[in-house]
Amino acid sequence: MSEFLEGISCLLPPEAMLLRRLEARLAAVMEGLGFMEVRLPMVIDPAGPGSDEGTVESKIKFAAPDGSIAALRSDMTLQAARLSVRELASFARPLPIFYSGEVFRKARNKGASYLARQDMHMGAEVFSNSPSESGVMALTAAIDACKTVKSGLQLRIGDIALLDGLARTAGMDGRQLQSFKEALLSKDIYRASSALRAMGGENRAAKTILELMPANDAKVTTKLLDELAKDFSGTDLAVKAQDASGLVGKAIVLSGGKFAVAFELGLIRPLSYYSGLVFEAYAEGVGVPVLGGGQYDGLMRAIGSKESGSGFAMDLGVMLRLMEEGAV
Amino acid sequence: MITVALPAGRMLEEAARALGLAGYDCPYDKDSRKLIFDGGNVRYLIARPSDVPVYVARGAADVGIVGKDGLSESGEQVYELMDLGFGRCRFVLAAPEDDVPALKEVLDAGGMLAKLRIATKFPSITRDYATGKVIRPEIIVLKGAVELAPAIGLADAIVDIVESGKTLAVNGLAIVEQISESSARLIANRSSYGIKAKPIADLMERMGASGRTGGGIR
Repeated sequence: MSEFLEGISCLLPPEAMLLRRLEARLAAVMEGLGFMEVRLPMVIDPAGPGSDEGTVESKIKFAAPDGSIAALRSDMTLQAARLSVRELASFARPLPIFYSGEVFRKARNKGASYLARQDMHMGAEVFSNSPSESGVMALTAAIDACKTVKSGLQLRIGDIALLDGLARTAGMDGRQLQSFKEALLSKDIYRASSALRAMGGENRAAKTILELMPANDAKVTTKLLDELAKDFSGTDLAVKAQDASGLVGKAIVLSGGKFAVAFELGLIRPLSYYSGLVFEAYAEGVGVPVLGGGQYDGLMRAIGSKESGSGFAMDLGVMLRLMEEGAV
Repeated sequence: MITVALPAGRMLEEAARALGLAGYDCPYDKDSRKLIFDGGNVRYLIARPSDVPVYVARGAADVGIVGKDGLSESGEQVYELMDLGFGRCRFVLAAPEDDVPALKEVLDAGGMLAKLRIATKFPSITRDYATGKVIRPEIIVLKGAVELAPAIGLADAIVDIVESGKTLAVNGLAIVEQISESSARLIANRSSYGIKAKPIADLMERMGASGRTGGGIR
C-alpha cells in the first residue's frame, strides 16, 4: 500500500514476521556483546548541535503544530550521539548501545517533487575516551552481525585518516582533496585514479593510494601497508599504516574464516562525518551494503563532546531479502 | 565467471570489438536476436543502454559498458572504473540559430536566464545543468526526436547528445554551449567490485592495455 508520500509503504505478512525474527536475532547478538538497547524518536529537531553533519540535505521537514520546523529522522547516529552526551552522560564508558527503526530520506527528484526513501535499520554505537577502543568494539559487533549471513559476504575496511594523510603527503591541497574524495564517494574510480596518475609516477604517496584504493585481500593489504610503514618510517603515516594493518589482522581473526575480509583505502561512506576507520559489508550480487559504519569523532566534536564515537547500521531490508533467500 | 552487460545499439559493436581486442571471446552476432550468450568464463547480456547501470547496480551483471551520459542520467550507485575511449559524444544546450547569440550573451557573462523551456531525453542532467543557469527552467521530457521541439514551439531549447552536429544544423539549431563530454565507461556492481576483484582487475588491465595498443583501431 502506497502512502501519501511516494516511497513510504507498509510491511505485509510474511515480511513483517520475518523482520521481527531478524531484529530479535540481531538484538541477541548485540546484547551478547554487552550492548544496551535504546529507543529513539522518529521526529527530530533538524537544528541544534551536530545538525550540519550527515544527511542534512535529505531530511524530510515539516511544520510542527507550534509553527517550528521538525523533521523525520534521516539517520540515527546523531540522535544516539546526542543521547550519549545528555541522558547517558553518567553511564560508564565505554558505552555500547544499539537501536532499531526506520529512517526517512529524500531520494531522487521526481519532477518538481521527490520520492521518499524509507529504510529499516538496526544500528550500534560505542562511545569511549579511547578512539581505538570505540573503533574495535564497533568493528567486533559488526563482525558478529556479519556472521548471521551464511554465504558470500565480504567485509571491506578503509581508513579516512590514512587516506587524508597519504593524499596530503602526495601534494593535494584542500580543494583537490575534497574533489578526490567526492570522486571516491561517487565510486568514480576513473576520475580518482586519473587525479593520482596526474601527480606523476615518482610520487610515492600517490602510487600507494592507487595500490591500496581497490578492495585488496588481506595478504596483498598486509604487504602494501607494511611497505608503506617502512617507506614513511618515523612519521604519523607509518603509525596509521601499522594501525590499519593490525585492524585488518584482528578482523580476520574475529571473522573466524566465515567471510572474506578486504582493505579498501578508497572506501568513503556517504555520510560526511566519518573521520577514521570505516567499513562496509557486501553480500554477493547485492549492490548495496548489508551494513556500514565507522568512526565519527568529528561529529562528536560538533556536539561538544571530547569522546570518540564509532558505530554502524545494518540495512534490515537487505538482510530480510537475504533471509528470504535462505542466506540469513 | 563474471557477467558483463553490453549496451544495445550504436555502441554494441564497438564494445564487442574492444572486448575482442582485449583477448576475450565475445561471440556477438549482429544478426542474432539472442540477448544472453557465453564466451569462455564470461557471460554477456545485451540490454538497452539506459538499463545497463540498472542491471549492474542490482547485481544481474557484475560489470557493464555504458556511455557516461546514460550513467549520469541513471543515478545508480555503481563503480565507474575506466574510460574505454570509444562512443565519444558531447552534451550540449542547443537552440534555434537566431536565438543563440542572445542566449550566449547572458550565459557567457555568467548571468542567469529568466525562463527557458528545455526539451530533452535526459532530465537529470538537464536539471543539474539548469540549476544556477536558469531561474525558472521548464524541463519537457521526450523519448525521441528532441530536435523537433523548438521548431514547433514546444520548447525554447534542447539538451541532447551530439556527435558531429549535423542533425542540429539540418533542423535549424545551433549549439549555445557544451555541458559535458561522454564516452563509454566500464562500470562494476558494488558487491562484485570486491568479491570478484580478481576477474574485474584482469578485465580492467586487459582493456586498458588493448586500449593503449589498439587505441587507433577501436
